[in-house]
Amino acid sequence: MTATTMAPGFRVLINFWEHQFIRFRKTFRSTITAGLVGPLMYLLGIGIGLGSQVDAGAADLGTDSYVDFVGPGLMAASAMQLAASESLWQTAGLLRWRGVYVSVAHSPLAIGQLFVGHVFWIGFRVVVSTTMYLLILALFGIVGSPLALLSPLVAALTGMAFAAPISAYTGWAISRGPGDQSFPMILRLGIIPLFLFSGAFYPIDQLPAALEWLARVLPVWHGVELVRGMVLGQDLDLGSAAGHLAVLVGYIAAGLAIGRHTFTKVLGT
Amino acid sequence: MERAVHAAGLTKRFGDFTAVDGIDLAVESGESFAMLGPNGAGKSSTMRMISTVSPATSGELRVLGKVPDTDGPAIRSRMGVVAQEDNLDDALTVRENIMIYGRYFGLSWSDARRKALELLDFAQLTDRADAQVNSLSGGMKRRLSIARALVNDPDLVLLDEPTTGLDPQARHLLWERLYQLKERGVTLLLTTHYMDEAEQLSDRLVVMDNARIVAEGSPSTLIAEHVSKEVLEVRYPADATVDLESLGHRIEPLADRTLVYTDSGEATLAELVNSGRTPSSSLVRRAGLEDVFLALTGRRLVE
Amino acid sequence: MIAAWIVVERNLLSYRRTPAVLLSAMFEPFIFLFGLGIGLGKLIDTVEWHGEPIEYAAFVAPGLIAVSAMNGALFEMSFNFYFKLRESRTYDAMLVTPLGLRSVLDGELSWAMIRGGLYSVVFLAALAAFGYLESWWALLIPLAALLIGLSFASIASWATTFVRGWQDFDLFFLATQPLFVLSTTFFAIDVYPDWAHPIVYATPLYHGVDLVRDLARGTVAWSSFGNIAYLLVMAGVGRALATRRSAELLTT
Repeated sequence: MTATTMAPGFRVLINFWEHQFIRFRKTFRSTITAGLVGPLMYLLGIGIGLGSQVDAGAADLGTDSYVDFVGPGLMAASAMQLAASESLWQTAGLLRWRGVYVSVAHSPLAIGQLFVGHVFWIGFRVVVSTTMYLLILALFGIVGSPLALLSPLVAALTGMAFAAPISAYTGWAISRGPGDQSFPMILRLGIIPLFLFSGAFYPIDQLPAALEWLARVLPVWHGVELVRGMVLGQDLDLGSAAGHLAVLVGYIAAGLAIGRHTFTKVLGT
Repeated sequence: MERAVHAAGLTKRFGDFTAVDGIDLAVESGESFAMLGPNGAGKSSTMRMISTVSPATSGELRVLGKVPDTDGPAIRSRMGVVAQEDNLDDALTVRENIMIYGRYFGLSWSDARRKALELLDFAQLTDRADAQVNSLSGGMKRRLSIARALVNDPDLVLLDEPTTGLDPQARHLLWERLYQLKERGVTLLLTTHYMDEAEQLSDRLVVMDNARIVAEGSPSTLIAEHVSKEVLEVRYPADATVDLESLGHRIEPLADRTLVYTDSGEATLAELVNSGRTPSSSLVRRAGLEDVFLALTGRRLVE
Repeated sequence: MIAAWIVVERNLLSYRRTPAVLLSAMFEPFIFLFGLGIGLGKLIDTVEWHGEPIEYAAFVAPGLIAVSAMNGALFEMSFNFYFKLRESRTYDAMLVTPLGLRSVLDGELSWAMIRGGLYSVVFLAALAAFGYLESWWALLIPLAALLIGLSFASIASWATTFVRGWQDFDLFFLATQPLFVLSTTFFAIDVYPDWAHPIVYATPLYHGVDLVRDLARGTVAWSSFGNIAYLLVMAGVGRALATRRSAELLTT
């Protein structure tokens, strides 16, 4: 009896991932192209181009050059950006058009599990795209530690720290709230400022005190610091690494809990 | 008064594919004219040419006395078009849809507002005036599409399958509104693949199949010419072999039943019963355009 | 002209209930100016412009006007244009009215241009208040923003006629990234190696950024006419191509 009640939810999850993977495979080539061209452009433009203007001595970057500083930082910040936009448009698409969530709406258990599966799927997407980022970083000679190989996983955690709460919001917005009209505004007024204030472009102590404090509270800076430390293999003591990791995991856990609750409530009734 | 639509040898090709193959059409002013045929018969392509958005490959076409290629805007200013798939502006409300459409036709904002009130009433949408288009039912959307097409008081209204996909109640409401338009003297040109719709709404019609016109006339003359007055539909068990050949004027075997065209369905049925060929079920009905289509093309219209 | 204006009216009407969507994009250049200009400003002392050292934020700000004019136009002529062209079939409904295809497209281009230009006026006023403007030439910046908006709207509408599904927009926006990097928004052209200069000159956003920066700094020169000529040609060619492609899609 227990086996049969457990199985449907789990099977739905597997089906969901299969479904997502097949869809993903169809657009794989453009995803790869975008995943490589994006970082290349950022590293050339911001890292090398803008870097040539930066007086490396003036700020305490803690790295040999500006491109070393900005490259890994952007890798983590872009994980947030990708995860946030997927959490809005993809989640909305699933809810509205694909009917994947809705088709299992009779089973509240499955809805909660699907939410978790969806957030982990976004994490997987982030791993794929940040791995390509890492390749470009290696091409620029920025990778300085074997720990770098694990950095896409930390980038995925950074992405999921946003994907969980934002997907939860999307579930509410599409079913009960303002719909997708709010999405461009969330990206424009929420995610882009966070991208710029994430500590990827400059150390956050350059910011006014209030913004610096905000950057420390939100997850993206923690991801940036952690990924930068892992890629470069410097300045990463175990204590602060554990602290960063705890913040990311905390956001994910809270976001998943809220999302499961919201989705079950919004779709399960 | 000029003819609403005049076409001679009208042809439309897309590459190697011929969508409309040299058809002749004459729609008189003030009449209600239907083009009947299955999907892919060339009705919509013909409609698009008449609505001036699709240039003819060859042949002659005049709409409201003018040539589409050179006088497109002048033709369109006197015409209303209701597309097959609703293309309402879903960024706008019901009322705004009509108003901005009025603006496209050169109405001032105040005239457009006045016209919108009048048309909302006509389409029975007054209480939904400020609703978003997405919140409307299929029937309401179709009524709004028609109301919108009337914003310029057109002399000719084109309707491409106006009731496809609507429930019976919504269809009847729509027919009633179209009948009102006809009473006002508006020329209606509609396509449909429903026989009952053509019978209800049209004075004359053409039957199209495979890009050509296969028959033309009023619903009653077409029925008189191509079929009998009544139809007897009979069913037998699947394994039964019953000879029906000599019955009525003509018989038409279908997958699940057999149609017998006859002047009196009851008499033919009695003949069957008396000769020991009693069917497991039977139905006597008036012959319709569906039967005309079947007689002309050997295929059923709506599968 | 009047027919095209009515298409603009339709767009104004459609944003009437959701002005926030339109207005939120207005903050974009402020966010970039503050987020990068101020933060990086502490790392970058001054940059050179026409031989004179200027504050980094004063260098970046005019470039951001060009970028926001481009973005406003791109947004309108990518997602919105595609939706109206393929999904909601709004244009099919417009084309059975006396509006011709040309008026419909010109109306959409005008709207995209106005949208980009509108953002520039707001940002410009703020820059004037911050004291980042050095010249009366700056009064011409809104005109330059309209031109930038028009040229990007024209090309974008042509490109969008080739889009087959929402997924294709990934590639669409990917194509705009090199434009951004090569635009000299964040650093001057002398930063690039000599061999890369022709590539920079070939890209459209560079001409927008260069033009607006020259107007803001009062360093208008013959090259500014080159910028204008480039953008005008791009607008004209884009409009012609887009008109032809739209006719193929909508009136066959």
